[in-house]
Amino acid sequence: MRITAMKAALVTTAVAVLVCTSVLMTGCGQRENPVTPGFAQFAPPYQQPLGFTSLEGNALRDGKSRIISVYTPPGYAKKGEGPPYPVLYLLHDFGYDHKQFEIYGLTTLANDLLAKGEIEPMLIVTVDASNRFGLGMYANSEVCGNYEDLIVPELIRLVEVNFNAHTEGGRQARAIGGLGFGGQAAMSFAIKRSDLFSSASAMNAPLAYAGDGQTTEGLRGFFKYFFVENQVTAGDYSAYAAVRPKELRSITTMLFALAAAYSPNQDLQYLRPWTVRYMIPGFNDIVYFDLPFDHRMYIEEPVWQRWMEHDARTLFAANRHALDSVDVYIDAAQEDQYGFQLQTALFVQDLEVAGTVDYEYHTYTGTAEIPADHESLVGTRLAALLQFHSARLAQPLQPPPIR
Amino acid sequence: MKHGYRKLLVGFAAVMILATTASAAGFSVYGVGARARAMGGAFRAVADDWSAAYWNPAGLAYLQKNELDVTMLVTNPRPAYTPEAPTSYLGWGFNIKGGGERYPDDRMLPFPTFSGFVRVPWVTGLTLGAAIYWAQDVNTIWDLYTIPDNYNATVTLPEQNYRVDLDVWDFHPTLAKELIKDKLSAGVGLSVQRGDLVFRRMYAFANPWGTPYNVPPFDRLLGTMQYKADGFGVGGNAGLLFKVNDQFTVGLTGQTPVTVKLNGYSDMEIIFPTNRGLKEQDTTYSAYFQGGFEADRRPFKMDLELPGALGLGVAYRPDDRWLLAADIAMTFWSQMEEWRFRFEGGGMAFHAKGIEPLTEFTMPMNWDDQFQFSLGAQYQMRENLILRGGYGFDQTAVPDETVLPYLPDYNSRHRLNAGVSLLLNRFELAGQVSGAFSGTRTVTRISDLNRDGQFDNFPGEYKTSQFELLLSTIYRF
Repeated sequence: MRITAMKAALVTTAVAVLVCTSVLMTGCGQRENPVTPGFAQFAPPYQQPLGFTSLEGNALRDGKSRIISVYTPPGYAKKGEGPPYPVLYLLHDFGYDHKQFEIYGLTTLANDLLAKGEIEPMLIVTVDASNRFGLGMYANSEVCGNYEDLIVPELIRLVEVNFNAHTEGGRQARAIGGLGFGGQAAMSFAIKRSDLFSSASAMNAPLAYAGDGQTTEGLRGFFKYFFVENQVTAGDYSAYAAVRPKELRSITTMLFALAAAYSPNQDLQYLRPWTVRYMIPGFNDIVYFDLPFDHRMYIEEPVWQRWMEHDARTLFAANRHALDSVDVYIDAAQEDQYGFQLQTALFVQDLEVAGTVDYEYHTYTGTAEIPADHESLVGTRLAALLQFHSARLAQPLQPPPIR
Repeated sequence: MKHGYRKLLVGFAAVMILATTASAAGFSVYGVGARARAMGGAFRAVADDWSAAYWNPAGLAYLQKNELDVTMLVTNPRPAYTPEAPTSYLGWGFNIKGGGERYPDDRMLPFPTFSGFVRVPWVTGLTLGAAIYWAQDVNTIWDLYTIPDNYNATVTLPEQNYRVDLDVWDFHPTLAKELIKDKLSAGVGLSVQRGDLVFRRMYAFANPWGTPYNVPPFDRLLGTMQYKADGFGVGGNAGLLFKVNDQFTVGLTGQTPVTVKLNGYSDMEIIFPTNRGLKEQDTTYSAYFQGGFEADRRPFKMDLELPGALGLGVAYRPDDRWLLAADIAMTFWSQMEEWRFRFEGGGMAFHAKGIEPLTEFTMPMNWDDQFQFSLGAQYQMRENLILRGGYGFDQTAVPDETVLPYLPDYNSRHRLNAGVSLLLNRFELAGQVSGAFSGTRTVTRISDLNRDGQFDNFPGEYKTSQFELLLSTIYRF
């Protein structure tokens, strides 16, 4: 049958109508993109180098300008523009700096937890407390500078002045935690300054420097590695005296860092064979500090006692009620190559004996592929630590009501 | 007659409703010609109009008359991308906008096609002519990136921070000869391809300034890059058409790879950060922490490697009214290993201290070969009215490691096609609609295949919808 031009036009028109209808059904206009500032996960923490007076003139010639890194939650309101936030101070370990927790994905993790409602908004502050030996050990020292003062009060003051940190909340708005020697320092700060912090945490931290002589020798167990690492025969004084810091994370360097922080000897009143004369590379300055063992591998008790003044277990023994008002979180990797889990267990025993401390104690093991060593699984543990502190920091902190 | 129109309308409506998601594999514009597209691309053993130049040049040998064709294809791509947080951390540089499903600059895209083929009267069975069609196309503009506030809160990026506008025209002179009467024909075509590229994206420079200047978010310096280029490439295709008997026909085709040599110029810009503390450190690098820009422009060259392909088709004519066809094809997109932009004139150079000249930029593709399968049917409803329908499956060529919102091959897809031809004296008026559907693709891991600090994919959910309408007029004389 022949199709007339009229009928062809009719078909064409019908097709055109259908096509237009379909296009309208599927949509052809510009779709609206969501209005968003972007993934908060990838907004980095605030980074700002600040000059710390605590480190002015330190004999090691390390810079006083230190970078602080402040995680701010998505939608962070600046000071005066919104309710203030509580603050968690995280102290890094020996051999690292303020970026250590970012290695474990702190920013991403915090945003994920926040998005899931598993933590509340808070500021998380880390500061570069490293020095040329790897760490200032968060102690005041004539050699290293005053790293204890750097945290308390200087860092707290700087954060509370420059950020929307809750100052009215006092200790209820502050928490402190850390990893390794940072955890040790966090616990020490909590014991010494429980008026400043309402919760404290320590991950894989050496909390009993002296050990118990049975399960662990504590830090004293490391002394022999000083000789092993440097191939020094016990009794060979010249070889002992010639030892200098090795690579950043070696036991030797760690012992130098501890000695410079805990047993400086700048006034030279007690210059002994175990006093290290250390010329600062690039300068003509010499600094002096004491090792707690001599060339025969004998413990030098007076020096060791100076170290023990910084020991968390010792501090707690001197003030059994220091942590009564501080919630404590401790975890320990069971394959820690430094054996810190054994020190932690001793500290936890003391908490248990005291009977007045509200604490959580977690141990964890790894897998055949990934043993739970000092650093390997920290990223997976960090979430629990953030949740612990978040649950204890009042959220959100509102300005006090008008009376 | 009325009953016939009703069936026609119902058929079109069904296709429209099913037309939900579609897009061409790789960069390809899927096929040319109203008849071929309506049969889902199952046309290598049919090849009975000018579009044989694309599908199987051997079919041109059997054209009964000379042909002139004008075709307009309109596509309505509707891609959507929902960014997701990656599971690994690449630093601040991955600062893609979030907040839900995002869309490009939505546009209807026209693709005109022209052709003319004549039978050579003094040589029996010889046909020659040429077609001009759009072989490859990408046309997407996205607003995907935002600068972290802590990096530089004073800068606003242009909304078109990711853009790919790639057009490849194919001027395709072709000849075909019947080798054995009513049995075997062969055809060859020359592909002279003209490519035009506009490409814009973000770039992250490694910060060379050391501590404390290279602390995050300043460990990388934000950059933008834009390329504009054009060039030509030459390739060809060939085909055989073997009529087994009156009912069965077999078509075999091959397309050579084509390297389009693009020449143009590129612009790069560094957006410097702002940071009060770093600015006050000392005078060495303070200038670079006060915000501001630095830009450079250089000529560049790039070889756009377009793939070869092999195809096989069969056609079966059970009676005078019906034609059934099936094709398989393999397009060798694995030749698309990377986009390598080679800067001339010493490379992109900046005055900023320590930033080395950039002599080239490589974007890994690592695409896979792509399999296609097509089924088509044709029904001569009336003497002058022909209906066609088809189905096609296109495997995606793009692996998870390099899937990007601005390169629109998001996933494997099923295509549905329908078309109609009206034969009016010397004219054939043809219309064709198509759509396709595919599942949502979820990419969870971010990748940096060549470890250059630039992420090579965008994690998130991808889906796309595309509707296509083609209208064609063929004049035979």
